[in-house]
Amino acid sequence: MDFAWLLQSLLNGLSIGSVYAVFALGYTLVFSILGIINFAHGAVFTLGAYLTYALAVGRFGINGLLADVTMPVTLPFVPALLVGAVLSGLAGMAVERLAFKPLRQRGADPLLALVSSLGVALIVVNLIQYLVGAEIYSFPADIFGDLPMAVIFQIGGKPVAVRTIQIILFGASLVMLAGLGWFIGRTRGGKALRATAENADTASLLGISVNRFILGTFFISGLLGGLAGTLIGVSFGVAGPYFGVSYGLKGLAVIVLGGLGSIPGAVLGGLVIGLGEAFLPSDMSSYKEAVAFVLLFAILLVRPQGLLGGRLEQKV
Amino acid sequence: MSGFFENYGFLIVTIVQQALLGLSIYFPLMAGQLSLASIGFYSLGGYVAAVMGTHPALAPLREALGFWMFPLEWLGALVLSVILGIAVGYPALRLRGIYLALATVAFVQVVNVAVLNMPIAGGAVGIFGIPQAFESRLDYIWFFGPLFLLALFLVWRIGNMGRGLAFFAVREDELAAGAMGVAVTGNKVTAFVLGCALAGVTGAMSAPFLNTWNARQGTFDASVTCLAYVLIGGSRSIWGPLCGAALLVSLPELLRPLKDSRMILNGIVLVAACVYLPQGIMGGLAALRARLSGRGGAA
Amino acid sequence: MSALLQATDLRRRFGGLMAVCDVSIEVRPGEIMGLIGPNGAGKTTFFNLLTGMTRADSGTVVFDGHDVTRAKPEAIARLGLARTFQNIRLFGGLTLMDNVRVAGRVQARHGLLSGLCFTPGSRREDEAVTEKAFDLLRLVGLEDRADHLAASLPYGDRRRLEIARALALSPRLLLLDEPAAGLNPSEKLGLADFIRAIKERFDLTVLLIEHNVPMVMGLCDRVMVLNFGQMIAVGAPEDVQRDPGVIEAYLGGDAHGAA
Repeated sequence: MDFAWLLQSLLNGLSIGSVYAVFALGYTLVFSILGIINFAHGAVFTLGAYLTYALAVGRFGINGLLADVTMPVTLPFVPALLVGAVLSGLAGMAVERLAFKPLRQRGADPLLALVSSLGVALIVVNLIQYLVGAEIYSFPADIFGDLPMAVIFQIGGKPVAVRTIQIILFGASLVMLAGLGWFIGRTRGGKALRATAENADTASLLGISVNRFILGTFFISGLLGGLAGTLIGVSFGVAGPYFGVSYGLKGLAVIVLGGLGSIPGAVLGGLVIGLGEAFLPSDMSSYKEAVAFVLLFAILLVRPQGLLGGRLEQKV
Repeated sequence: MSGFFENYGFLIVTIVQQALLGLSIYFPLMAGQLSLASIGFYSLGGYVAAVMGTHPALAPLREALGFWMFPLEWLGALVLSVILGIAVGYPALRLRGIYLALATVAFVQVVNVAVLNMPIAGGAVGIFGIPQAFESRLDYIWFFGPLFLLALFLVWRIGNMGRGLAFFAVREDELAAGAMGVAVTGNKVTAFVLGCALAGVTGAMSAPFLNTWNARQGTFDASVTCLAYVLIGGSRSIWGPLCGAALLVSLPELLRPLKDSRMILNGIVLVAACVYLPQGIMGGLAALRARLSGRGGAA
Repeated sequence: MSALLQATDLRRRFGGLMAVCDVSIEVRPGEIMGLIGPNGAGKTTFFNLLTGMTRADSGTVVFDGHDVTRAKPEAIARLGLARTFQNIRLFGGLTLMDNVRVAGRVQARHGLLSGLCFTPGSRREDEAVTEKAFDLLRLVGLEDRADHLAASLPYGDRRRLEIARALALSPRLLLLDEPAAGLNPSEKLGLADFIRAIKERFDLTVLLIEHNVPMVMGLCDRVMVLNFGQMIAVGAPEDVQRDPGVIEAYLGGDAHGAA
C-alpha cells in the first residue's frame, strides 16, 4: 500500500474510468429520452474500434471476406478516430430506425425493444466477423507517431509509469464530456433534447420534432460509443467482434451505479468503476471483471436510484 | 420415420431443453418480474451435475447409485438453486422493471467470474467427459420431456387456480395487490425461485447431454436468447416458450447452408419478429384465428 | 366503546411539504366518517399512512388493537382494512371475477402445494371464493360481465368493481378515496344509498374522502377536515359546516367543494 502504488492505481483508474463514462453516456442519453436501454450500444462500441482501425491501419487480417484487401488511403490516428466516431454515430441512427422506431410506432411492449436491439447487435457483430474474421487486431505501436510509450517517474524510489495512451484516454474523454456538457447546457439542440427527455408530449407541443431529436440522440450516443470503442481498442487491442459485449454490460453497471438517466451520474459511475478495478489488489486480479457487477448489485440493494439518481417514489 | 429422428433427434431434444429455459423466465414474468438470472442458475446447475458426475472423490457414490446418480444431481442442483434463488431474490425483488433485469444480469456476470475462479469448476476449460446417461442423444428426451411436462403443468395449474391470481395481481398492479392483502414480495420471490429451480435442474440435465460444461454456457447472449423464446413465442401463452424455442433453435439449422452469414440472418429474424409479431407467435395465431372466424381483427 | 382505528400524531413530510402534520383521530366501530378538505390538503396521504403505503415520519396507527404503524400494506389489509384508490387501480388484465377473487383468496388456508395436488380442501375453498366473488359482483350489478377484462369497463363501473374487490377482503373498515369522483349525478345519488346499504349488510365502518359536500353531510355521522396537512375540525356534519376555520379554508382556498 505504498504511495507509488496508490498513485499508479489512481492514474490507471481515472484513465479507464473516464472512457467508461464516455461510453456509458451513450446509454444514458437514450435512456433519458426513451426510458429504454439500447442493448446494441456495445455493438456500436465494437464497430467504432473496427472502423477506426480500418481507417488508420487499412488492413483486414486473413480470415474474413475482406482478407488481403487494403485501404487505398489511410488516415493519421486523430482524423481516423473522428471519422470512425461519426460513422458510429450514423450506425447509432440506423439502430434507432431498425430496432426502436418501428416498435415505438406500434406501441409494442418495451421489453421487445430489448430483444430487437440485441437482434441488431447480433447483426452488427456477426457482420464484422463475416467481413474481417474473429482475430485480434492491435493498433501498431507507432500509431501516435513519435510520442513515447510512457513516461516513468520515480516516487519514493518506486517507478510510476504514465503511459501515453492513458493521457490520451483521459484527455479525449474530458474533451468529449466537456463538449457534451456544453451541447446540452448551452445550445438550442441541447435544450430541445432536455425538453424531449422530460416529456415527449410537451416537447411535441412546443414544436419540437420528437422523432428527429430521438434520431439526433442516437447519433450522439453512437458517436460516444464508437469513440470509447476506439480508445479501448487502441489501449488493449481489438479482441475480436465480441469484445464489446463485456464493455456493453459494464456500461450498464456504470449507468445504474450513477443513477439511470443522470448525466453526472454516468460520469461518476464510470470513474468509480474504473477506480474500483484499478485499486483491486493484484492477488485478486482475476476477479477484476466482477468488480463492476458487484458494485452494481450492491448499489441496487442499498440505493436503487443510484448515486446521483432522483428518489424513486411510488405514485399512489 | 426413424431416419427423421436420427437426423433431427438432437434438434428436437435441444428445442425442448431450450423451451425449459424459456419457461424458467416465464415463471417470474407471471408475477410481472423480468429476470435474466435463469441462465446463471442453468450454468450453476450444470456445474453441480458436472462436478458430481466427474469428481474422483465421488466415484464410490457413482458406483453405488448407478443410474440413480442422475436424479441425485438434479436434486443437488435444485437445492442449490432454491437456496441461492431465495438469497438473491429477496433483496433483488425489491427492485422494479429494468432495475431488476439489470440486477439479474449482474448476478449472472458475477456467477461467471466466480466460476472461472473456482478450481473445482475447471477454469476456462471447464469440465469435460461428463458421463452420459444414454447412448443416443435422442434418449435425453426422457430427461427433458417429463420435466417440460411438469413445468407446463405447473404454469397451467398456477394460472388456473386461486393462488396464481396472486401472481397476476402483482403483475397487474403491485400497490393494489398489496392493498388487497396479497403478499407482494413473497409472491415475487416464489415466482422467481420457481424459475431458478427449473433453470437449475435443466442445467443439471444438460451437462451430461452436452458432455462438456464451461462458463460459455452462461453468457449474457444466452440469457437474452431465453427471453427471446418467451417474447417471440408469445409472453401470455404457456405454449409461447416452446414455439419461440422451436423457431429460434431450428432456424440456425435451417440456415446452415448459409454458413457464416447465418448468425446475421438470426439477428434479422429477431428484429423482424419483434416488429411484426409484437404479441409473439401465439398472439399472432390468436389474432389470425379471430380474423378467420369473422369476429374482426380485435385481438 | 373503544376506537376501531386510532391514529395518533401522524406526520409525513415530502421534501419541504408537510403533507400530514400531527393528525390524531379515532374512528368508532359502525360509523361512517367523512374526510374533507381542499385539494392538496393531505387527504390521500393520510389514507396512505393508514394503509401502510406511505411510511409515517412519526406518530402511530392502531387498528383493531394492533399497532400497524410499520406494517406492510398486505398485513394491514388482512387485518380487515380495505381501501379503494382515488385514481382507481384495478387489475386491468384480469377478468372482473378474478379481480374480486384475488382478495377472496387472501383468507384461504390452502396454499400453492395443496392447490397443485388438487386436494379436495383447496377445491372447496376455490369454489367458496368463486361463489362469494359472484355474489359481490351481483351486489354491484356487474355479474353479467364477470368474464370480461377489467380494462374494458367504463369509468363508473370501474368504481363499483373496485368497491366489490375491497369488500371481498371481508373488511371491518372500508376506506373510500373519492368514490363519487367522475360519476354522473344519478350515479352519485345512488352511491350514498349504496354505501349505507353495504355498511348495514357487512357490518362495516366506513371512512371516506369526498369532495361532494352535500353527499358527505347527508351520509356521514362525523366529519373531519384537513387543510395544509392539519386537522382543523372534527365533529358532527352540522357543527363542522358552521366552523369558522372550515369556512375560511374553503372560501380562502378551493371553493368548488362547497358548491
